[in-house]
Amino acid sequence: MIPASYFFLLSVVLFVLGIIAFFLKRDLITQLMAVEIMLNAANLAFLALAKSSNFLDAQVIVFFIITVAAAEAAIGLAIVMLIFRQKKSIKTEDMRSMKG
Amino acid sequence: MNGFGALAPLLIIVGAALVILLLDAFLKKDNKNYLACLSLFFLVVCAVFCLRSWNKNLSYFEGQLRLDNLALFLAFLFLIAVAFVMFIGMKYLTLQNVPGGEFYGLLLLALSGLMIMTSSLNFIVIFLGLEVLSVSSYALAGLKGKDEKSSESAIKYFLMGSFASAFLIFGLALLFGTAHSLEISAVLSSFRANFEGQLLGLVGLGLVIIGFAFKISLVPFHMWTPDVYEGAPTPVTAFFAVGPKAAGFAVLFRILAPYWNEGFKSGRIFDVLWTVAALTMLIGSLIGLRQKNIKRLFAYSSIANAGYMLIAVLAGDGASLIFFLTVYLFMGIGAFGSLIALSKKDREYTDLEDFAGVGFKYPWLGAIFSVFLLSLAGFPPTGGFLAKFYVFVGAVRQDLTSLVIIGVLTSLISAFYYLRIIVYMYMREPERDVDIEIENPALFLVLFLCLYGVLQLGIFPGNVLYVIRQAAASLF
Amino acid sequence: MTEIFWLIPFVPAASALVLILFGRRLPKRYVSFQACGAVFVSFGLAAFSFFGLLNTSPEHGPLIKTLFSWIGVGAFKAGFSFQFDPLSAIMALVVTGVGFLIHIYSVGYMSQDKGYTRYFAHLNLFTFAMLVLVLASNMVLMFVGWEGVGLCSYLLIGFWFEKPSAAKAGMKAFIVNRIGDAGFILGILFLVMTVGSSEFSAIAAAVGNGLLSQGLATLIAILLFIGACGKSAQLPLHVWLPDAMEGPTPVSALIHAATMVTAGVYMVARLNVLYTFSGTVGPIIALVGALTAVFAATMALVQNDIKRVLAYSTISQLGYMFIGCGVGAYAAGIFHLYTHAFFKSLLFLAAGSVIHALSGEQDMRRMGGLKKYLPWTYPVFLVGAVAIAGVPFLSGFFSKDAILTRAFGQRQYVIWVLGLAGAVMTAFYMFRLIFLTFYGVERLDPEAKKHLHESPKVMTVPLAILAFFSITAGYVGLPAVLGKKADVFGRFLEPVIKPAAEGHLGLGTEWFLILISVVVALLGIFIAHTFYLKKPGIPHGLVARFPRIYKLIYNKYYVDEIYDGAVINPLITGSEWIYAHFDLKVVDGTVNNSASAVGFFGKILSYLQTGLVKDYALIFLLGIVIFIGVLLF
Repeated sequence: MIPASYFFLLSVVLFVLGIIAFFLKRDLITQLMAVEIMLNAANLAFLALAKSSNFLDAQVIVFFIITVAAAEAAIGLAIVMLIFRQKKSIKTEDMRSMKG
Repeated sequence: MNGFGALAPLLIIVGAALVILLLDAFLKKDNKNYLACLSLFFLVVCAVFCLRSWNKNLSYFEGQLRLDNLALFLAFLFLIAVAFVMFIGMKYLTLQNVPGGEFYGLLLLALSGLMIMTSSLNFIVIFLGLEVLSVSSYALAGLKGKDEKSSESAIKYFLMGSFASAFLIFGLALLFGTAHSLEISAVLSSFRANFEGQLLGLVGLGLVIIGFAFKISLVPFHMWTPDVYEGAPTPVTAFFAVGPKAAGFAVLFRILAPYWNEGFKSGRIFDVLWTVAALTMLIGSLIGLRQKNIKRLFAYSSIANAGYMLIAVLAGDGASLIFFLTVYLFMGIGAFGSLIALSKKDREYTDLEDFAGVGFKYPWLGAIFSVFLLSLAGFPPTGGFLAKFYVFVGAVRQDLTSLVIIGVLTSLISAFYYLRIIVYMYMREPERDVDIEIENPALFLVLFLCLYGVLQLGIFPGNVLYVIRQAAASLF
Repeated sequence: MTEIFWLIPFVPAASALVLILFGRRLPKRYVSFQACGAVFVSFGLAAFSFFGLLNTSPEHGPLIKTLFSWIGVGAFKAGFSFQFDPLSAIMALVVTGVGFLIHIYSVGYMSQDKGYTRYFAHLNLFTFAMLVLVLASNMVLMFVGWEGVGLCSYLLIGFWFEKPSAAKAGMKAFIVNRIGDAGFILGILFLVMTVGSSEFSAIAAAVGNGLLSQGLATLIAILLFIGACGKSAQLPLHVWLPDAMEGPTPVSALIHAATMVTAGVYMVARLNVLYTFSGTVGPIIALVGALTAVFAATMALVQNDIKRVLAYSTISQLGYMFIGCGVGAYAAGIFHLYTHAFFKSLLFLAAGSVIHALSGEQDMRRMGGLKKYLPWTYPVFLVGAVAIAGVPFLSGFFSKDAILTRAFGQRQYVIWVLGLAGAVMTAFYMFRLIFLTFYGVERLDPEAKKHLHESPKVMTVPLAILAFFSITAGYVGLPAVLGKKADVFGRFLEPVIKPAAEGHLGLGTEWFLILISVVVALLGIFIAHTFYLKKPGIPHGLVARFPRIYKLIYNKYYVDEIYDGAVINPLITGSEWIYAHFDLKVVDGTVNNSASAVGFFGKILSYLQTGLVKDYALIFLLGIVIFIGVLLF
């Protein structure tokens, strides 16, 4: 049986990977995916920590979070669509008409 | 006590949001004002339910949803805010080509998010409320579909928001890992057991605070604010400025006030937040000096104001915090409403230069706008002065003197940029051809109500303060 | 009936409200009638309450009328309450009395202005705020008035906003005053923290029963004094006042001479118990006051703009008031405030009359010989100048002498000498102004000369009344040598300002000091006479025929004359140097530079706001790392 702390470590690694991807990638879709990875990594951390302490409430909470992540993904895609229709581009560098 | 009454206000709002969205989808009419009237009706019904529950301390879902006086008072504030935003939105929608049904429906959804956030003592419920709010906010920011700035602000808000949410969830996971529960009280008592002991828990609490700090734009988690405020449709910006900020601060206060009471006032979280408050006030007032776009300027103003509110949180001074939020509602919506008043078909006036000479061209508008600006700058006898004064008095008593000095100095700096708008309105010749195309009665009604609120709270704050004290007392 | 005093501020407020809301539709005559009438009713109420006060014994304590309870935080409460005691009675009388005359004068002065109604609305509003300031019974309400008068003054300085210099001057006044206000509000916060109340009576009680430690009292006193420096234009926060002369002249008379700028003096006198208790702050105030008095007087020596001379003169005279407060002679300080209100507003209004007569000319180099054209303005101007110069038997003499005598009595000899030096210069620059304006050759612009006319009755009658008071106002506060009861003014103020139990100076010493004051005043006038009048200058005919050549000669003559005077030479050039290098560059520059430094930080910081989400996220992440890092380590 794999100890729960391994899962927690995995979640941390995934979370950091998500952050790195968020900074390295240049288009909105991949950034959106990076954020999704972070959300799911956090979810995994939840499960791992719940498992290690044998509290099952967390399993329910995780479902909430999955729903939230889905809603975020949906709205995010919709906004990206909107932007693509306007600018014909989804590069993050193009999103800087407001600054200062 | 268990009672359906605790659930009723929330149900009404969620129901209303769905009804509005459906009606909009199926009834194709050009004039969407009837949707506003319908929403207003629901808001009033909800307000009546809130009033009836006062002092009853209702709860539902085994205490996951509880309507204590604080939650009720805030719900009342949110209802007023949303009603005002809808009213000032009417003119904006007709002139700027923004879909009405989505506007009203999403506002109501966001409102339900706000209410969920403030009427629970469980982190996961608060988080769900926050997400309901966030998701509808992203959509609201991008509502002006044809405008590139609007969609840019939506994507920026979305990316930063979900980025912050990920950290918030991670923090919740860590908290759950140490406390085995997500009730605020349980989490805090696990801290009491071992004095800021378990590092994981401390990190978790830090991440959760950061998650909310993002929503209320504390430095350095504020970077999204100016862009989103500038790009979003103006009524939506007005909503962002007052609604999420009030809810975020209420949650922060619910978490931190008991935490301070446990004797963590000398703890590290306190020190970090102290610095954050100082930075927030400084950044908000310094960068604001450079702004030429008034919406952007108000964004920095709202950042600076977040700093003052954080002082109240640090001082554990609930009454001052809520009073500040109440005053901020009236002056914030009033200021944005004044911006909307000056607009014509497909054209908004948000540059400083646009306001040159407006004080003479439209004396009423100029006078009212000036009062809001003076209140934001903290001149007596407006509400803005008293709000700051209360916060500072409370903080000085809690030995936050140096923070208060920073607060006084930064409000000195920020007064300059508010006054500059007045100078433009009254001491410049008109430079551009600006126009109030439609005299919208709803808009002017809101402006007058806000004016009344700002002055009433500045001169006769007694009754409101009495209620606010009752609300703040329900915390402990 | 005695409680009717709380209505005093609200009459002008109501009038201002009507004018703001419906002013555009009201006929001009009605506007002036209402605006002046409101202030007159206020004056009547103030006089009525004043006589009521005279008939009640001082043991009653101040009359306090709480309209409603305003602020309450825990134990700290501040009511919207007014207080009527001798000090506020005098202030209210000055504000409404002088204010009324200035309102009347404005009817004539502003008659051609298109912003006539706006002007009177602002003037009424100002009167309201000033009355709130002087009648408030606690610091917080006083702050309401304090900010109110400030706002009205910015509006009125920038009244002719079409002139960029006017708008800029309004902004400058605002910025400098905010620095003072920060001190003021911090002082209030500390008071609330330590005393738990901001009522004047509570502050006095806290000092009495030892609730307030001396260190804290000193801190509070200094913070509040910073506020006073801003509003009363003391070094180094004086820079806004000369620029404020961009406003209409009656505004300068009302706000920048008689009332608002004296608010700082009033506040210090009001809190005299606190200032006396703190001990160390007194000498600081006296020194700042003395330095300001001398410094501003040297500035006044070299100005060519008639209003700027008066502006620097006001700063200098305010310095004297602070000397009075600093050496513990609060009653004398208020006494000088009261006499100064008459003669300085007289001088400003008379200067306004000159400017009016010359169609807006303010440069004294293009005046001269006006004596015969302005038969009303000239004598009243002379009265004002004689009064401020400290010539015996006029009001300014008594009040200035009271302050200097007290400084001497406190063995503050440095202050005393500085005060005397200021007095010589005062006499000198006032008579320089008189001689340049009314005597000597006419250097008028021919265009202006065509329209040269004496002002209408509506302007000259207020001048005459003010002149009357400039002569007589001093007789309520005669020096102690004339008997113990001579100082009616000081005894009237005793319920508010306890006279210090000082060892009286010997009779001989007092007479000697009075003699010195007289000599000093006459010396100043004599020097001015020598340098600006004795050499009559160029024949009139020449002037008429060759105005341009004349101008050239005149300037040369002027310079020659200066360099002739070996005594004055270093002083004048020194003053000019100070004006050019210190006042314009250092002090003014500091204000401008600190403003631009603040702006610079803003600029640097705003570069962080790149508009790129990734950069935002990076800063977010950095924030998290630091936040969590601090939590862990």
